[in-house]
Amino acid sequence: MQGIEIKNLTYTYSQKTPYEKKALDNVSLKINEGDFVGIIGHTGSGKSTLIQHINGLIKPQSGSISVMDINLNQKKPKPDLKRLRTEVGMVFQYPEHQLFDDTVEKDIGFGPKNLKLSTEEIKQRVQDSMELVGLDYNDFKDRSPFDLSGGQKRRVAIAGVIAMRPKILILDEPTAGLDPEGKEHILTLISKLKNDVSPTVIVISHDIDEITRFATRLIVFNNTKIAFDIPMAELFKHEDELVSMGLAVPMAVRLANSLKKKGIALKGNIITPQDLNASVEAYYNNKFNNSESNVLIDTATSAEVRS
Amino acid sequence: MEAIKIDNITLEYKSNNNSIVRAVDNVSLTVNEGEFIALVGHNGSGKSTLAKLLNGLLIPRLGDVKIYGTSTRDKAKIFEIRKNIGMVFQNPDNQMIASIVEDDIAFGPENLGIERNEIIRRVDWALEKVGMSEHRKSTPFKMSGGQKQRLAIAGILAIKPSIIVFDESTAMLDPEGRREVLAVAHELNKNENITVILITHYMDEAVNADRVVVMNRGKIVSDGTPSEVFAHKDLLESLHLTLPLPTSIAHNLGRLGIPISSDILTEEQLEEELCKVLK
Repeated sequence: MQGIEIKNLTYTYSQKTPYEKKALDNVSLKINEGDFVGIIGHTGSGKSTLIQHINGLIKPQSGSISVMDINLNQKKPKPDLKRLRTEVGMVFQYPEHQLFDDTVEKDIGFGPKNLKLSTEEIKQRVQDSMELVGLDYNDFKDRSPFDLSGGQKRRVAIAGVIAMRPKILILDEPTAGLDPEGKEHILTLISKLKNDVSPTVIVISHDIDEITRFATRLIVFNNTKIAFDIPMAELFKHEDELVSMGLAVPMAVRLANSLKKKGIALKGNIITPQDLNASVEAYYNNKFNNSESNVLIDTATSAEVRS
Repeated sequence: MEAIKIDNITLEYKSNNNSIVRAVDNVSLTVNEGEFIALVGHNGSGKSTLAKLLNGLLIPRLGDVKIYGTSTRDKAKIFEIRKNIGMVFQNPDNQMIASIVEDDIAFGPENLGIERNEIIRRVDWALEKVGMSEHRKSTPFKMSGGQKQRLAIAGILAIKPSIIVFDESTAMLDPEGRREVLAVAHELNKNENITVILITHYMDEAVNADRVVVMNRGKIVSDGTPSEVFAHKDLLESLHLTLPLPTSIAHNLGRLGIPISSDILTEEQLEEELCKVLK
């Protein structure tokens, strides 16, 4: 299987000590090739522990996990973690903290170099990755990554991950701490990467309004468990559950639902501001402009009659 | 009463490739006591430099910054100024110094040589103001970002400042943490009459301010009530600033030919307006 398959995964930190803390409780999940998944949940709900499993940073304690046909439960021979980490690209929170080399080119080329690719291939991958994240190769290749703006640093860090050409790309809070322009860049970039580099993309975010912009599937973690796992288009049915978990509900969903309670039932699955605008427009035209267009037709007919 | 008076200040710094960047360019601004001001602008617009000029961390090359009439150039009075104007920075982890909450908060007043019983009173009061009294004996290191930022605020409150500057204090927090910190900022403004300067690039944090000041390339390009400032959609967009979401939805509906007021700042207003228009 080209995706991720997790069955009954349970994980406890500091097992058998007074600090014992359960982080995942009997989680089962299947992510297929081509999925565009958004994961939300509180700090401590288990989402980060889950993605650390997917990248082989944590070994499963109980339950099973297999990623791109690599069985992570296998003892002998040990699972091929090097292949796993090439196939699964991980962009951690504040990935710019992991920049280390003295030029942008060397930093991005570090991963491909460790894959023992030829010099030309490495250069090609660095160029392609920089183009994808929107950094001009000639302008930036010799600059120190530490002299760049916050948004640019983050793009260099992402370029370093995609230079590995991962089949699965995981991003943890990719826009945290950026200004609106930097955020916009990264959000557009994520959709582009899904099309051009990694067929499967998983994004963890606190900002549900942000996730609704691209993900087609939503997984909500609550208190070490998966609370629900739904197609994004069905999000509007789950407002009350999100509220009861103390999670934010997209503004468009909230507005559409409360208008409905007041007798204004907008049509369609309203998740994003664009959905809301389109539905309000349709509702308005249907209610007010229809009668106007009838009037127009009437005058037209009467004009015909007169002539 | 004028809490802050900034008079034609200019400050340059050298960038990494040795060119001179004018971070603050002939800026004047007066802030009255008790005002809640949101200072917005994208990265590099000069807003954080302006914040550092307020408490004398930076001194302007030209012009003058006065806090309650005292210039930041007056070296003899710089501690008085810093006592009067507290700063909460972006990263909560960089602002904790002690391993126990109450020690951390007592650090400021201890350094001012305040008498022990008064310190205890201030620590109690400051913790209560930020809603963290029950964490008095805990360690800050295992707390959430929002809790840590509230402790950083309590540490500042214990010095009893008249002005608090929040320099992107919510940027690294999750939505709940952001709400907590904003609520504390508004509470202190309302009930303790503390003048607040909230530096942010989240426009929805600016809608509840008394005044919004927009900076770009070291200059103030807009200054007014939230309704006044957010009416200039094109200006804000040209500065790569996004409108608050309800405002942007209202603008777009207007563009689609729906007769909706463009003076919308909050979700409640948008809902009310939609009800009116669609009923």
